[in-house]
This record gives sequence, structure tokens and C-alpha cells, in this order.
Amino acid sequence: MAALGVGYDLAATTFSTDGRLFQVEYAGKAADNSGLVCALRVENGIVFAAEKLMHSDLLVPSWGKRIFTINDKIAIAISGLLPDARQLVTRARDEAANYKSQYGRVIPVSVLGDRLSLFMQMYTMYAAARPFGCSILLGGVTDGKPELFLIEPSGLKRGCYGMAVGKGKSKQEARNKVETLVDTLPTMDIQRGVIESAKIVLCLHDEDEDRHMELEVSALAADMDHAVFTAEQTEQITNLARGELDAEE
Amino acid sequence: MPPITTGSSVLAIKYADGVMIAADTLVSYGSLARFKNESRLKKVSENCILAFTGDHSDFQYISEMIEDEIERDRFIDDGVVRSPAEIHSLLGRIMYHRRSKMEPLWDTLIVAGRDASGTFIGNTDLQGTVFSDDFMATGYGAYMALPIIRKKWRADMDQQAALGLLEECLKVLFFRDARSTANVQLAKVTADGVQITEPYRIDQEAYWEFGRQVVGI
Repeated sequence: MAALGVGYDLAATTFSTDGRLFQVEYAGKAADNSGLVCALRVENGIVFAAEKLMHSDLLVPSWGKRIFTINDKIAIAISGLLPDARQLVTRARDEAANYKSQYGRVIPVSVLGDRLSLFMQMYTMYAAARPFGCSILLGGVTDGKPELFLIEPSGLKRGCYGMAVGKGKSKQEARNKVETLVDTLPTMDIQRGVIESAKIVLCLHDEDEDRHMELEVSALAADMDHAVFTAEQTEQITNLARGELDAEE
Repeated sequence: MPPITTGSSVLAIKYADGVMIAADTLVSYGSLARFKNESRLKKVSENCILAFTGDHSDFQYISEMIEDEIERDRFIDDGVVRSPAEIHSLLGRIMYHRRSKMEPLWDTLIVAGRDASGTFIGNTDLQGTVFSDDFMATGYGAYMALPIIRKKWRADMDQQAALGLLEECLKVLFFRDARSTANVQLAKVTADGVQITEPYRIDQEAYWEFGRQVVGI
């Protein structure tokens, strides 16, 4: 493994002999290096669930947010290097505010996605900068219709029915679980979506490796502004989700 | 730079339940009463109102800027909310900055609201002057309404007394300010948040009566 990119992986401006950009691929690995985050596009909105890994009992759970409001109808859930991702969140807020100021309406989710992916791509073209070490799940409602995108460190933006990003093994298992839901998502309501996404995150949390986690859940819909659920609401959601997981076993 | 479409006086007082602000609904175009039903009181957050004397378009720019600032706070969602005093301070900086560039925003602004630490009324103008007080009036109100308010204002006035005081001042302004109308709007910021009334006409009987008393001029 050590010899994988020898010589061709030192700068983002160098292609390997088989046409790969190793620095961008390594950034992709950094992007998976955090707790699981999962988002589902349901009938009239988007739900997000994130696994906040609390590495120490000294840490106050209400910080370390992984789901951010961009505006009432758009939110971003982040994975990977969290400080890099927060920079993107700030950029997204600026882009959305600017668009509203200039054009007088809420930015369409895909337009915001384009701007963010172009922005991320820019950092893959210069030796003096490094790519963003994070992936973002951008979800929102435009003209009443929900849209969800995954944007990777390379700047690649893809529309999704549902998606999960995070630590190696659980990412693939999480995506498998989301796949089993794909047929039901177009008619699923927000409440069910919240429970399903919470179930995926809770079920795949590795109690031995990562010990303490906090669940962060949020939702937005055509008729509901984006809000991260309060501690009390999250506890209720956790109990319902765990109940269903236990029943399924 | 000189103001084109303009608003006249604004009055603001603190009272028992919070703050109350009043202004007529006229935006003039020089001596033409151009927009007779334009609101000059703007809610910018759940606990703050902005009002203006002076150029209307500059006010539209300012209030949109402040609304966006407040909205951004809401999206960041970290429990920190801008208080009316903070908005006032920000506006004062912006106004002073513009005057220093010789590009003033030609307004006198009143920022009025209420937060956990109490009620607040602040004033800032095209020169960047900044101050706050228990009651305030801008435009012709500063000359004609302030003396009345100074005489009759009490910190613990109830809603009715506060409303009466402001309506009396509005009446006087209608009689004497040539760029005013009898169509007015009131707003208050209390523990229940911001409430802005629909525009209404101040008492007409009273002003016709006044007319009957004027003799020989």
C-alpha cells in the first residue's frame, strides 16, 4: 500500500501514470474519516442523521454540530475534516444570501450545489493549496420539491435518493441499508424518514471502537423550515428507533 | 445623494409594556405627496423595529441589509441573537462609515425594541451620530413633538396613555408639518413580540374643530 502512489502523490497538480490524482483520492479517504452521516430524500423533504463521536467525557454534547442550516429550506450535513467542512458551510451561506439579495428568491438547491462543487474543485488544481478533506450532503427543497446531493472532495456532485458517508465499513453497510429503502422513499413522510435515518446511524455505531456517541437529527420540508431537533426530541427519536431495531432482531 | 423620496417624522417612546413607535404613512416626492400608504415602520427581528425619516430608497437598502444580518444569525443557530442595541451600534458604524466616504445614507433612523436586558430606543443619522434615550422623535417631530413628550411622558405609562400621547403628537404634526398626512401607523414591541397596526386615520373631528377656531389669518 505504501508504494501505491510513489512519486505521483506529492502534489494535487500531478497525474499518476494511470491518470489518477492521488492527492484528491487521499482527500476522499479523509472525507470518510469521521462518524457516519446519513441523509434521505423523502416525499416532501429531506432528513439528516449524524453520529457525533464524543471522544471524551469532558466534551459537551451540544457542540460539534455536523448538520448546519444554510437557510430555511436548505441544510448541509458534513463528514471528514470538520473544520474544512465548516468553511464550506460558511461559503454556502454566503452564496445563498448573495443569490437571494441579487435575484430576490431562495437559491435552488442544485444551483447551490454547482457553486459548492466548483469551489471544491478549484482547490484540486493548485500545488499551493490542498483539496477539502470532507464530503458534504446538501439537501433542500426548491419550488416544493426536495433534492439531495453528495459533493466529494474532487468537486464531483451527484444527486441522490439517499446517501451515507463516514467510517469505512459502516459507510458501505449504511449505503446498503439506504438501498433497501429506496423504493419506499418517494412516498415516505418526514416522521418515518427521521426514524429510518436514525435507525441506520444507531445500528451501525460501533460500541467497542467508538464508545460514546451523540445522535444529531434534523429535517426540512416544503412546509417546514430546517431545524435540528432538540435534546428532548432527539431522545424520543432515539427511543423509537432503538425500539424498532430491537423488534427487528 | 440628496434625498428624493422622503419620509417625515417618527416618534418612539418607552412605556410600561415595552416600546411604542408611530409614523405617518406618507412618502413625499419633494412637495408631492407621492406614496400615501407606505409603511415607514419595519420589523427587522422578533424584538426590533426600524423606522426612518429621510430618503426612502436608502432605508430600503438599510432595512434589507439588517434583515439579512438577522436572518444569518438565525441560520447559524448558536443561541446568539442580535439585540436592538447591537443593531443600533452596527447601524451607527455603517452610517458613520458612509458619511466618511462622502456618500451618506440620507436618513435619520430609529431602532426600537426589547430584549432580556430591557427596552431600547436608539437614534442614528446620516452623519453617524449615535445616541439612545427613553423617548425620541425625528424630523419635524424633534421640534414639535419632543416638547410635548418631555412634558407628558412617564416611564410607567400604560398602553392607553402611551397611545394617547403619540396620537396627540401625530395630530400636532399633521396640523403643522406640510409633508405629513393624517394616515398613521403604530407599532409596539412587548413581551409578545413585534406588532404593527394597519394604517388608520387620526381623529378627523378634532381637526375640523381646530379649523373652526382659526380666525382672520
